[in-house]
Amino acid sequence: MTAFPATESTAPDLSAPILSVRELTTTIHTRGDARAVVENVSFDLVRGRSLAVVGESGAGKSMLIRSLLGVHAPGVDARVRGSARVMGVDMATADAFERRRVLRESIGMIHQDPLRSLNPTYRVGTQLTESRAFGNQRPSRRSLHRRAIEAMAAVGFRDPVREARLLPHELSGGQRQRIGIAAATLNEPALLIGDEPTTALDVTVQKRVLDLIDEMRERTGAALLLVTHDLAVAAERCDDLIVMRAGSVVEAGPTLQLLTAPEHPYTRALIDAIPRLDGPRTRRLCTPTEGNLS
Amino acid sequence: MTTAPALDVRDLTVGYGERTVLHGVSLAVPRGGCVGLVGESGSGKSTLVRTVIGLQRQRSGTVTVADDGPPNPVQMVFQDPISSLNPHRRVLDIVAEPDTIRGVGTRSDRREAASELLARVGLDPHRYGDAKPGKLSGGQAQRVAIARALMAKPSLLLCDEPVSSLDVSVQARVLNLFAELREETGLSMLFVTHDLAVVRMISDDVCVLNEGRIVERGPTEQVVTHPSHPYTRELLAAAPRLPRA
Repeated sequence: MTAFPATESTAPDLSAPILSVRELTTTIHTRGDARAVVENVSFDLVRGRSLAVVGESGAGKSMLIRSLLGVHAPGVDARVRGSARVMGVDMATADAFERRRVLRESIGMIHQDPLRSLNPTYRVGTQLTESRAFGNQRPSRRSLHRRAIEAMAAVGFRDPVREARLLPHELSGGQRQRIGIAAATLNEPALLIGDEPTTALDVTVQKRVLDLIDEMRERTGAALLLVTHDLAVAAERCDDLIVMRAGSVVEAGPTLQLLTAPEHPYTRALIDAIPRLDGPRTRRLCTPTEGNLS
Repeated sequence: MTTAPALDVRDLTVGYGERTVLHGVSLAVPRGGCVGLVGESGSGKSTLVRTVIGLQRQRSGTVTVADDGPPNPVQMVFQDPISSLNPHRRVLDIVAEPDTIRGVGTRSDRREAASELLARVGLDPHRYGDAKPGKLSGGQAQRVAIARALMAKPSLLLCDEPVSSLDVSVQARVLNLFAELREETGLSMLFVTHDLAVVRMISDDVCVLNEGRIVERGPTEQVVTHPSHPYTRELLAAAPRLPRA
């Protein structure tokens, strides 16, 4: 994470952070009870950089994403303090119209399983360009179709004209995730957010999908915020790293430095708990215990 | 004293309808040994597991389990621990179930034995014995499932992705438990997983399954450091790695 000072200026500046999070705290309120799920998180993400948010279940990774997009599950009383600016727009205070504009134009979201976010009754080619059908310009159906075919070819579909006519369930997990990436990158957003995008995939497919995300970013210069439970994926794909635990940032810094010389015992413990393919064979893994987590 | 392997699978061919999923697979788990079976989705891992426990019929080939031991010589540990436990029953009764079914001892004998096993897998029986599965975390539930499997004193423990849905620190604890159990009880295991690094820690030998065929087998260390089949090399190359300190 590059430590840029928080600026109030919204003038176009290429070095200005695409995403700037300051003292973000989210509390979930349920019947007189309040629980902080994200606590005092601050970071900046600039153009072209990639930042991984890692942590175990309950660390607050998904709540962080929801909070910075200003999107919470229906019925959840989440109160967000602090700020999360995307291209200078504070998502917490922006009106619904402005927030939707930023979500549509500047952010591409890649979910864990695109099958859940795809409409099962629409052909993939049609819904791929759905986001283009709204907004100010309303392109013709034919040009939308052409755009969908191009986008599918760009993410490696061999026969996009045929494959665009398939329904989501007719695709494999890897193909669905490529549709997810095509949809997320269609508007060439400045910020790509991946929420465990390869967790459900086999390692060989995971590699192809992560390579594809890297290629798309190289083409467009998009910044990447990658939420993952897999430290090794973060290690290979991201410049910077944030380790979260119980809603708070435990440690943050350049990936290589953080993983080779962690300062916090929890980061150390997480690294040591992972079985490895290289180095001496271990018979026992170190496990984080309450004792060494000070 | 018998030297027959705990599990002996020979020339196993299994299919669904037109499709053949396993093509003449052979593998053996020696007594007290642990064999890792590695493969990706669609490789036939689950079909092999289902065939070994008799949920799926083979077209040809044989599955032989050493049966000089208990009446149910194969016990399973599943990927999703919560859904493999009856949500309405208490932990001690769940663990005691294999003996309950066979009518071994009195209820208090069985609960006593179950308590010991719970302690053995690292759960305090006084704290968790009367809990229901809904109160357990994923790692705790997996321990209960392991204790239940051990209750039947199996000749073979068949583990189907037993740590894949667990957080890394919980996974480490459960893997350590498997390693301890192997050393202390001489348990024979077939450990099915997609993760070669997990296999490297837990098992002496590995079989790599690809499209229904075992494409490579051997001592885990050798396969991991000097893979000979292109598919194994692809698997190893695709696995993301942490930098070394």
